[in-house]
Amino acid sequence: MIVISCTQSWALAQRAGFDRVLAEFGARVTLDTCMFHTPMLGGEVRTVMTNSGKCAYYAPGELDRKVAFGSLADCVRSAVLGRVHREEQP
Amino acid sequence: MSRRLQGRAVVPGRAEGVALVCREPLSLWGGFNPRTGEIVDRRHAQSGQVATGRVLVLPRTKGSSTGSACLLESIRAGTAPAAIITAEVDAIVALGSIVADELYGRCVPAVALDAESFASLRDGDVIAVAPDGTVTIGEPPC
Repeated sequence: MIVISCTQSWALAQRAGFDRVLAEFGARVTLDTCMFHTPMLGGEVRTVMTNSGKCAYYAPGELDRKVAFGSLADCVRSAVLGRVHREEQP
Repeated sequence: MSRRLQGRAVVPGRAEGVALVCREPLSLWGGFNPRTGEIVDRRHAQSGQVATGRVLVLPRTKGSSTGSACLLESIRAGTAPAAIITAEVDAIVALGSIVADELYGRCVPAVALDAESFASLRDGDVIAVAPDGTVTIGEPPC
């Protein structure tokens, strides 16, 4: 799981203790950039799931990966399950 | 027989090339790869086409203003279109091209046409743009 956030939001997450939960899960956190400009996907990654419409739209051309789009809750659930899971239909 | 259209020279310059005509807008960030000159917006009708050296005919850009930086980088890398013709003054195109002129001493000429003139351009047309904004369409190569 990759969490891409910004300094301000991450400070709020730390205050709420979310950073420890994410660290225990093994999430990698990257702040103030985007995965198109900062390589952060390993070669083994075949599918990217995101709650960003912009990321989902451009990832097929920019990242050469398959893309799934879903809500943040769907992204988190999918990361836990290890497969794409959608409660909410697009 | 060639014909002439009068446009507005947004970034004045002289260039010639074969038209690559897009009927829908394109984001130069995310939709265009400055390393290869390829249109990489996989939902765009011209996905997979290479704009390098072509006269890119584009109604307008869309999306990220970082498109200026992508055009700038493609000019530096030598993958840029020969010229860009739009259907309105496009600030993202203009900014990237003007900054390239400042930084690298070369630019992509940009011309804005009225809607009717713009619609008359066809893929494969041989197009020359002049510094005064004149667009000349010649015979397609045999």
